[in-house]
Amino acid sequence: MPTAPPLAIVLSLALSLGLSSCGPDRSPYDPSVLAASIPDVVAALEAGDAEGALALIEVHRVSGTAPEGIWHYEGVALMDAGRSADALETLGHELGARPGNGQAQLIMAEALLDLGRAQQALPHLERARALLPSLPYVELVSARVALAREDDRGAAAGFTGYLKHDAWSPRAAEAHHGLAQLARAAGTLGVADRHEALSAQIERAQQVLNAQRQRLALDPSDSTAALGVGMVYLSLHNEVVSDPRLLSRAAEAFAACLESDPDNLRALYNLGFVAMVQGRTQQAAMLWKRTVALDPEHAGALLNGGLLAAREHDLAPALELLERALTHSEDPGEAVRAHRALEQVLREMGQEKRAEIHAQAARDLAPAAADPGSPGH
Amino acid sequence: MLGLSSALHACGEPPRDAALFVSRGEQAGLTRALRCGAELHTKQTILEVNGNGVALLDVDADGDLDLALIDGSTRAQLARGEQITHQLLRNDGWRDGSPRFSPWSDHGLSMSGWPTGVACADVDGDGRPDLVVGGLGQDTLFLNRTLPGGAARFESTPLPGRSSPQDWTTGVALADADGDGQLDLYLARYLEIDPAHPPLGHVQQLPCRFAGHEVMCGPHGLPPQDDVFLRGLDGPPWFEDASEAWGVIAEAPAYGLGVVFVDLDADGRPDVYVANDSVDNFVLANRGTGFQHMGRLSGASSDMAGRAQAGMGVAVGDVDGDRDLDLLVTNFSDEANALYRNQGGLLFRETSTAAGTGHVSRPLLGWGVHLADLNSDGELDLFVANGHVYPEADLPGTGSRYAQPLLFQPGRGDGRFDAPIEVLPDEFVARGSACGDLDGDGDLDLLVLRLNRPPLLLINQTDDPGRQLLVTLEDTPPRARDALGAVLSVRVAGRWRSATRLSSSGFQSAGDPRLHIGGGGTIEAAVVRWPDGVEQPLDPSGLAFGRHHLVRRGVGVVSSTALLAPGT
Repeated sequence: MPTAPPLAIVLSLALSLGLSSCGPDRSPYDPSVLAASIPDVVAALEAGDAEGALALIEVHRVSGTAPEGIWHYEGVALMDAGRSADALETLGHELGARPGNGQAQLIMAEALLDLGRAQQALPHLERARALLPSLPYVELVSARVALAREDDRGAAAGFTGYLKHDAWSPRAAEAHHGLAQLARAAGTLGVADRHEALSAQIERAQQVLNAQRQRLALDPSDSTAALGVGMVYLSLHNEVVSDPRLLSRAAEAFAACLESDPDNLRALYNLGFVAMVQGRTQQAAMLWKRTVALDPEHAGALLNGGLLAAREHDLAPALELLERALTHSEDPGEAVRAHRALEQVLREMGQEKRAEIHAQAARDLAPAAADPGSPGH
Repeated sequence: MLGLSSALHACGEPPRDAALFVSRGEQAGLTRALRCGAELHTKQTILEVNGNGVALLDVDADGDLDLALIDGSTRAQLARGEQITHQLLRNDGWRDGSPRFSPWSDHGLSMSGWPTGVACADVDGDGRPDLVVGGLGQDTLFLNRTLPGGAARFESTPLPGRSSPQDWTTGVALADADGDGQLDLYLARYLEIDPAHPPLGHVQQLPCRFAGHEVMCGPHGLPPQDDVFLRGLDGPPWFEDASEAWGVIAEAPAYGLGVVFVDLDADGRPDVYVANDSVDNFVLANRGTGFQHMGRLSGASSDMAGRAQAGMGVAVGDVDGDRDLDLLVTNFSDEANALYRNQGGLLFRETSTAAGTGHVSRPLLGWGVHLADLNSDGELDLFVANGHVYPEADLPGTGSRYAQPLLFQPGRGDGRFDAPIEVLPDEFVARGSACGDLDGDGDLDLLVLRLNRPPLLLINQTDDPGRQLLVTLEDTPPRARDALGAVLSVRVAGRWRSATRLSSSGFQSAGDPRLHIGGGGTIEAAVVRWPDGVEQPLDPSGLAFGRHHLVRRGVGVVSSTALLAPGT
């Protein structure tokens, strides 16, 4: 089962907001100021061990080392342990003492929602929104509350707002699914279908990521798992949202794969693609060159290397690489791009007759072929 | 750690004065456990944890419900190729405060493999209820050859649609998908496992763990299997494999468990819903000559957040009085019992949070499930049989337990359910269950299967026949007699109450073939929507609470008998 990240991790996003650390009753309060005094509890929560965190909180209480605001962390742990009703009571204590704790207000709203009390969640949600105006997660919780209240307009606003900040985490999958539900209810099935497809794609990607991360946790040098992680990030970038952070993560994963398995063709080739999109063309060319050195028939690397050389007007290597790509490619799309690029290169070399042959071949294969100048994944 | 009971009853102590059910299994003679692998706390493989099935049927046409308890197997017995003989128990009526059951012998309900799920309907059209039993290694049709009032006797026929001895059927459901008068059969298939060499410790390089504890492996990492659709024939061998022709084969096979075969969009063609373990549930729209996988577009394949859940059982019922059929799917611990409210056109909306079925079920792992008016107040209630798959759920940090309470939530009639009411103070490792009137008073009793333990028999204490209506629907040739998928709706005090005829529901089990509507009152209007979509209004003056009616298509009520309090 794919699982959502623990609340502790989600709310750690809020810790960078620079809220004042302590204050009178209703002024904003940031519970992270306690983290240094209970690092074991925080670590357990971030590791997803809610029951362990609860046990540690009890130890702190018994030994007298529990800070005053530990109710907050207990509430988070109880929610992560699926004990919403218990969390309600604990968070009630916390908010009684520190109503300016925006995170606790938000978790309180979630607990009430969990217990089917969506209407009662509303005031807590509004307080959380006022205290944590730039926390995207507030948007998601507000969408969930609206959905439970059958306030479809409010839910749509919440999901859409959340997606502006996060387009590819498991919670983005939830937001897309929520928008699909709303579209279904509105009778716009095409829109519902698109959102469901995105939701499913993100969810599948996250499932693969989780599995590969588990493997990496067991064996950090597992090159296959690292490659899998890179491929997931790359597919999210190519198919879900063009987010430069995804490319960076893909690059890190491919690099990790190559550390354990320097001759991994897929890692080399795809790292080249990432470098290309990131504008590091020299590195891309080098990586594809290495790919071709290891596998002289690697059509993708030959084609992309050739396209890159053509773009740099490095005509002789471009000609050689593109002709070899054409020989080994089994993909009609790749062939079209190779023919188009060859046409361009040959025209630049003044070989009009040969250029025309490739132009005709490209037209025969696909009259409306894409721009030949962009190396593709 | 707080107990599951406290999680269920967040607002103080659970109500204890309801006492809607009393447990009467032992007094009734249900003292034999069904086999399902190794002992309760020593399960090593996923094969041993899903449990068995039960069917309620009137084997000998004496007017009361008998029991077919589907026995499982063990890995050793499977390896030896031993025949499995199911338990068939005759209902001997009420005595000393309990219904009584006694075993039939030489009944012919024997088969090979590791049987699991069951469906019940009249396959050969002779007026007697037959059984279809699925399992690992064999799927079998048992044709009922019992003479009225005589000794039980069934003839067995192995079913087609198997390509490997490791094909593992779980849920089984019958309906006439193509309208030809012959019942067709949907077999949900689970996963590929070699019983002789099951994965232990890890599968596909991943450790098999739950909340940090090593547990038996699966379903993740084990290959899922394609479901099977068998088209009905008008004579032996009774079924032929039509899985490909009918588009049952999914792009991605799934871990199929609970299945219902019922017309969800009221177009006169029964559709299929499959609760899949750990992956998206299936909604298969019946287009007349084949099924179309609706995927996520249906809105009934995942939870509210779009996450696939570990679906186990599925119940069907109109929970909001709008006369269409809603779905309730039970799931793994830390997941909600999902209520999918029907929006028409095979589109659903998951409403478990608003409905109140979500938070109460998170600590629980649900299997058998019923949407039925158990407390006879006129609204459909929710009952779920719970129990974890991992004995290790009792270890620290899991947030759950192996044995779990039974869940009963009274329905409000508007798609929402009240807080749970305690059914029994004890907790069980429960699995499949069946719901029906076992003691002749018209209210709904429950037969709940337990893993490696004798079944529970929960006798409903409402004991007020005047608040019960039972209806047997009979379709006419050339259509299949059992009217599977038909919906009966009656209007009382301006509100519609509905019930649906199914061959199986919940988890691997088949309930009372008679439709039950509770609550009493004066019936203002009544209508049957027959399986082909034709609606037949019934004369409300011919229907009354406190009676069991036989309703025939085109005719209306053709006979009626009074329901009586037990022991009278």
